[in-house]
Amino acid sequence: MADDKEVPAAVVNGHDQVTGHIISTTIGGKNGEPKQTISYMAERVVGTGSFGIVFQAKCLETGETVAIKKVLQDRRYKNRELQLMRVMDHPNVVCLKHCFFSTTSNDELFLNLVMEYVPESLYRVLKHYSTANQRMPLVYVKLYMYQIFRGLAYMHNVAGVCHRDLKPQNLLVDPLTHQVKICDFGSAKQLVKGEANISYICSRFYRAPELIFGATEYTTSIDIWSAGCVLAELLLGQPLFPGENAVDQLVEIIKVLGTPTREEIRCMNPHYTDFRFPQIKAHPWHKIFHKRMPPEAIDFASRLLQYSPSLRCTALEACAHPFFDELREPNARLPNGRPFPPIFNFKQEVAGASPELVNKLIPDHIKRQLGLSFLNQSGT
Amino acid sequence: MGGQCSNLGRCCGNSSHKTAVLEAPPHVENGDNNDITDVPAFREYTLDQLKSATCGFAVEYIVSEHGEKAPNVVYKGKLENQKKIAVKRFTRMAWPDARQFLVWETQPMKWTMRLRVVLYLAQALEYCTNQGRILYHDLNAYRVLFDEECNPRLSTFGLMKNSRDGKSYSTNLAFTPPEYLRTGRITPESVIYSFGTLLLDVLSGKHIPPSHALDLIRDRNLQTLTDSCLDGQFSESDGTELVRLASRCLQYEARERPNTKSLVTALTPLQKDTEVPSHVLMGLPHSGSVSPLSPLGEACSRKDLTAMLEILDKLGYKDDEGVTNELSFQMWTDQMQESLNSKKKGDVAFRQKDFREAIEYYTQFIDGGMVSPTVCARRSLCYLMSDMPKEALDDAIQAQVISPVWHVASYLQSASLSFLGMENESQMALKEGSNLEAKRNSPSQLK
Repeated sequence: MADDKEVPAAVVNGHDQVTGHIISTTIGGKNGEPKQTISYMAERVVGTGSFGIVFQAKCLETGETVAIKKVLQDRRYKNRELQLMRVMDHPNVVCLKHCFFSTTSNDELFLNLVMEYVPESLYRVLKHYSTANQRMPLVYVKLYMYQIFRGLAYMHNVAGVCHRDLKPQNLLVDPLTHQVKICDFGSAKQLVKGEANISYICSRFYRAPELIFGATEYTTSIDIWSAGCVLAELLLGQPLFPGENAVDQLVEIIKVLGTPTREEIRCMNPHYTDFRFPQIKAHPWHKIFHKRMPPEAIDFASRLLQYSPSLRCTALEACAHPFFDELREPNARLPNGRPFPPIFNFKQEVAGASPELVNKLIPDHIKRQLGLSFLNQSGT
Repeated sequence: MGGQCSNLGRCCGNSSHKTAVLEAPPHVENGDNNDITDVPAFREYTLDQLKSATCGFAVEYIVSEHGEKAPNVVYKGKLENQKKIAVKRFTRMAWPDARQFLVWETQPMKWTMRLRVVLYLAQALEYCTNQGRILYHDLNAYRVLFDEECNPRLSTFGLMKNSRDGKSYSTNLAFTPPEYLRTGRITPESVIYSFGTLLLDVLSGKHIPPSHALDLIRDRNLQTLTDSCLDGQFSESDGTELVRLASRCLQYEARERPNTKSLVTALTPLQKDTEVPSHVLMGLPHSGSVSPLSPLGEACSRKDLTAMLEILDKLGYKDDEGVTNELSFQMWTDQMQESLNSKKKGDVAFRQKDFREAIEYYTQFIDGGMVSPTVCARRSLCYLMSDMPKEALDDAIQAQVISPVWHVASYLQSASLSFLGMENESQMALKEGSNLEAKRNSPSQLK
């Protein structure tokens, strides 16, 4: 296995206990690079799930805090999460720093993904506001959602990856800079047109209706639906489509969007056009979104949460929506007066976008800074 | 909940329930290294399966709040394969009427009919305006119902009565007129805006937020905006005209929208086949879904072959009149006599339900060059009884070729298609049979 370039360099023997112990591994040593030892002191478990555990650790050499995701490695397969994380590099996608294998006393092989550590998640931020009985200030909703869509635009357009489990728990937030990073690629996959995928992915509340219908030829627009649900949750302070099971969730969706038409069902899953649903009257939206909700927010939500997957806007189009115009104002700042984290440093994600779209994405004051006068001419 | 009754008045009064089922999801879903497709998606179960899974919908199995008094009750249950399920029971009223506009039509509505719907609505709005009842609340596809003649009608006038102050709006805010979002009030022009969203629904078969639809129109992306099942049903200029009218209705500035009178003026020249009754355009028999199917149609829809056989036997050969005439030329040949004998023997076997023998004799008759829709129909049914639906369909089609407006041929096609698993086509053939039978029995045909 050590010869395989796809797998991490070192296998570490470790204790079964996580916290408190030190893991040492070697990196480099290939192509004439010097070998280098890195030691991590495991500090605390920050997450557990069916996949394994995530713990916070400190690198003893650099003092840097990292998150290590430890998953049981099936020796028959390459780990897809690792493959995908290796190719991704974007400010709004959590960064893989390093990885190594470890074994336990009963000879199980574990893969350890060492990632940058981000202390908060959108889930916890939301909880903070709801315990305080407050709504998240709109500027944060905009800033967070914008970065989520930027991350998605990169994943979808550049890496060709669909996340398939977007939810507040998987959206990390730096409480100081307010930078957002998408994490957990355990369900992510490069979708290939014409190839079937499992429909039992994505967590409840955030599942696109075509997944509830059992569609197997879905697209990255399932992430757009999930992001729409996150947007609504930030605006409302509670999930928009709660429901203990798929039927309940569908009922919740119908309450908001109305019963899907035959054509909309065809767009979601062509095999289900004969399926009949209970006729449920749509809830008045003013009961869902309060009256003072800005029209752009409502317009934005309605473009993300559409039954027909192909009608949902793309992640990049989402970034250009007027809902985010406030972020593009020349003097836009965080409420504490500090600057926003970098949000206009586009690279590959805008390749292939129309000049009009690029023109909308990069505000004039940034264009002037960058000297991109040519972009200015094409649009305004 | 009471609001549903007004939409579905026709199917009230029946207390039977419909159910929706979901299998409990498997525990592990993450880390799928090989994607597989045997996932618990929607599946239809028979009422019996659900009854046995929930011990006959026993009260102890109710898991939803408020016990059995809640409008929609959820039961826990276990399928034969030990899979745990939740069963949600809806009252009959919660289920859609086949005639409800756009939403649940059994087959997509034709372009001509859709245009008729929007014209009738425009006329209804103009009428309301002339009567001084200008405000109409949240005009949308759900508010359009069809009468006995299948003509579209505007419904829920109660809301109009209460809406004269123009303060509330009950639909998705992404579809509300901009002035409502600005001021919280609707004006007479707001109704025109809603009418514009309805025009888009009619064209797209989808519920696209108007701001998004306007973007698509601006980008000339009419393909995305058009219902896939309308392909080739209308000219480009008609499509453009409707889109143009919709864009005018959706003007941001209320005063730039057309009034109800100009809606009628714009929609009138687009009408086609105005002499064809709506129920024909809808592909529904006159008052069809209200009046029950005929005994033969009923037997066909139940796939009750024995009942169909009895009816066909009773019907005899009286529908062959007019067809047999052309054979009179051969009346005296020996071959003719022989063929007639085969038919007789076939009929005996048919009545005794000896289908193999019946097929054999009827085949001799047909191979002898004789033409009889009834024999084709009978052999078709024999094939169905012998589990040969493909052959049955061929004979049913042949019967229709000989006798184009014969309802029996359509019914047999419906039954054959159903056995072939082509439910949609089967339903269409059933409808056709029912239409033909209704026409045949209508007074104008009896003279």
